[in-house]
Amino acid sequence: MTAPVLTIHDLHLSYPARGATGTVHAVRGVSMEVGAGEVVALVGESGCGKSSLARAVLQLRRPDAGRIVLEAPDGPLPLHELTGNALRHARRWMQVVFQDPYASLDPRMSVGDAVAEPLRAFGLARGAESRKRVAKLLEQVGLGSAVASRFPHELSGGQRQRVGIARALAPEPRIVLLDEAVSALDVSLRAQVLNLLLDLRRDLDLAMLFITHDLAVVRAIADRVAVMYLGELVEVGFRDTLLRSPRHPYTRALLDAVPVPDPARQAGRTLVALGGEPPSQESVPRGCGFANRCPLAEERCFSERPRLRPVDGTAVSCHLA
Amino acid sequence: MTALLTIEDLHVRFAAPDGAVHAVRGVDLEVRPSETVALVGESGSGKSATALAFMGLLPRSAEVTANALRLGDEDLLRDGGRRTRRLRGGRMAMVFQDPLTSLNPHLTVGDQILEAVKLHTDLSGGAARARVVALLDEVGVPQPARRALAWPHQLSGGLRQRALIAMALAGDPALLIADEPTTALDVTVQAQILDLFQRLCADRGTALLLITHDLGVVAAAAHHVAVMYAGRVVERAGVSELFSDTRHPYTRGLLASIPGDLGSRDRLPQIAGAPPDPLDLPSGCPFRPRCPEEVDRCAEEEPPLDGPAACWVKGEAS
Ligand SMILES: Nc1ncnc2c1ncn2[C@@H]1O[C@H](COP(=O)(O)OP(=O)(O)OP(=O)(O)O)[C@@H](O)[C@H]1O
Ligand SMILES: Nc1ncnc2c1ncn2[C@@H]1O[C@H](COP(=O)(O)OP(=O)(O)OP(=O)(O)O)[C@@H](O)[C@H]1O
Ligand code: SF4
Ligand SMILES: [Mg+2]
Ligand SMILES: [Mg+2]
Repeated sequence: MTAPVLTIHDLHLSYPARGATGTVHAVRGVSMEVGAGEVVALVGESGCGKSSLARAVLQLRRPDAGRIVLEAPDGPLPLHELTGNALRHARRWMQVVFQDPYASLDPRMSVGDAVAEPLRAFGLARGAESRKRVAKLLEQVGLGSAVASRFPHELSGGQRQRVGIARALAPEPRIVLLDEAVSALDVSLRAQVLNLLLDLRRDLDLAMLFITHDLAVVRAIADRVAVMYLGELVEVGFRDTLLRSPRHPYTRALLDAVPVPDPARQAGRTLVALGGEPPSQESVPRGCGFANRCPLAEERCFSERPRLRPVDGTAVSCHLA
Repeated sequence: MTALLTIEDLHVRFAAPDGAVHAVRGVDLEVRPSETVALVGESGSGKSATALAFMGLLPRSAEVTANALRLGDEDLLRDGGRRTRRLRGGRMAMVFQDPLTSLNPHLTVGDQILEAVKLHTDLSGGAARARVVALLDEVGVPQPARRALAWPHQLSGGLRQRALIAMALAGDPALLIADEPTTALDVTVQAQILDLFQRLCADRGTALLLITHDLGVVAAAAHHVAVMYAGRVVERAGVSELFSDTRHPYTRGLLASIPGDLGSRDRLPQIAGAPPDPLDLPSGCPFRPRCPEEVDRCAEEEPPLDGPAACWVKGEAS
């Protein structure tokens, strides 16, 4: 078997808490791998640490601890050890599309320049060749090359998001991290962009770490799914197994909360499947992070922290799974 | 009952280097008290521009014309936007698509909500602060009192969005326009927010214009639906009719694009062709180049929205 494109080992990331002295433990010991051409979906509750994980993997924020190894064409790159130029060059192989496209695009840069920038920065194309590639990329994400002369504030939310995707694909990375990157697109356009990504994965072995809360997207393109809760992975498994027979009580609650595009079926459902709220990341509980909301919780769940362990081919972190 | 939001024949044009983008081309819309109307449609079809025009929030460079823009019986066109500014944030409020850009990075989240509370209610001092915490709690922000002290960049995308919803609710609005309010939220929180919206509509009689891409959200939360394509409303229906008696070929394409229960590794269904270039719309029906139903007339004349759908083939009421 070939080495995974991305190996994350025991990653921890924390932030100083607002005001006082505490610490926000956003990522608490995450380990996972993404194989060449593999699509791993990362799902989980708002605030559970998905974007923080992405930031730490990219070394945009230095993790407290953990190893990140990126398999580049000329050998493995230990990102957690790289700095300066070495790190910048390594990023050619691992690109990112952020959740908030407005915040991640330079407002003074035209769309065409924004997409051309990585081509120039990594010395991949310039002049007419660059313009040709930019036009093709914009075309592929459903924008048409006419938008090249426009500025981010002149675009709709979904158009901006697609500029971010075109920009990330420009240097032909081996893996892209997509943080809610297709959420702002209507289903048809989303399908078009996902189809493009699937084509790239087939043709170029592009791997993806797909952060999304949209389980329809997970269904459509993921090979494996990782479920995150309170900074930890609580379930990791193959898509069909995980969606058909979720093992972790949180995964079950998550699947139950998906609205179905059918008013008749929707009418008979209660929307709120999961009450309560996750504990503070500043004082993470000793036992299972989900215990205070879990319908199955027993005494042990409050005192003893479960670890990811294999159950029928899925990895689950639950005493009762 | 009279409508709370009335939009008649709204047009929005943006100046672009290579010509004017006619982003909204004659939109009519109504939302009544206690009612949720979903505005769905393709990216770039003019949903946000419609909402922003009503709220008086488009940049000066945008040209806005309409036959009527009314909040209840207040005419928003009459006094050059003064009335709109007075009502905004109070009787009518909006939640935006980009949570980060609509929060001030230099103020804590609590202080921003506090400003809105002070501006639009009689509360002050401790009562106003207590209201801020209660609002954050109502939109499902965990540890609301602590979160009120956070800076915007310290919150996750979903928490920022909930803070914005709390701010919009500060003035107890009669009309709430929410532009993709749950796009950045996970499904469990999305369910809580939709539930909150339903309670607002039922208990306070709030009228809600809900812009969304998610047809699951539409099915769960809307009473009526307006579908936009290329700057126009092309289909309008009650929520169950929209799903059971879909008319417009674009809407059909949308529904067909919903991935099935367990996708195979095949390509996902999508509507053929590309979204129209707003600077160069096709003649006749703007959906024509992508339409499987096209007839000769479609190229000659743009179909009006007289019945349920703006379509020469499928537009007749049954
Ligand atoms: N710069 C920061 N300073 C302090 N706390 C932060 C900072 N950035 C994020 N956090 C906190 O870390 C936790 C994880 O945030 P993160 O943005 O990773 O969540 P997420 O899973 O991406 O959520 P969402 O789905 O809402 O985007 C949250 O509690 C958030 O408030
Ligand atoms: N400030 C602006 N200047 C120029 N053009 C603009 C401006 N704002 C929007 N547009 C253009 O107007 C059209 C409609 O944009 P709008 O933001 O209303 O789309 P939308 O339906 O909300 O799409 P999305 O679902 O992607 O948010 C788009 O073609 C967009 O590029
Ligand atoms: S008017 Fe014609 S082209 Fe337009 S949607 Fe109807 S059938 Fe298709
Ligand atoms: Mg995030
Ligand atoms: Mg929009």
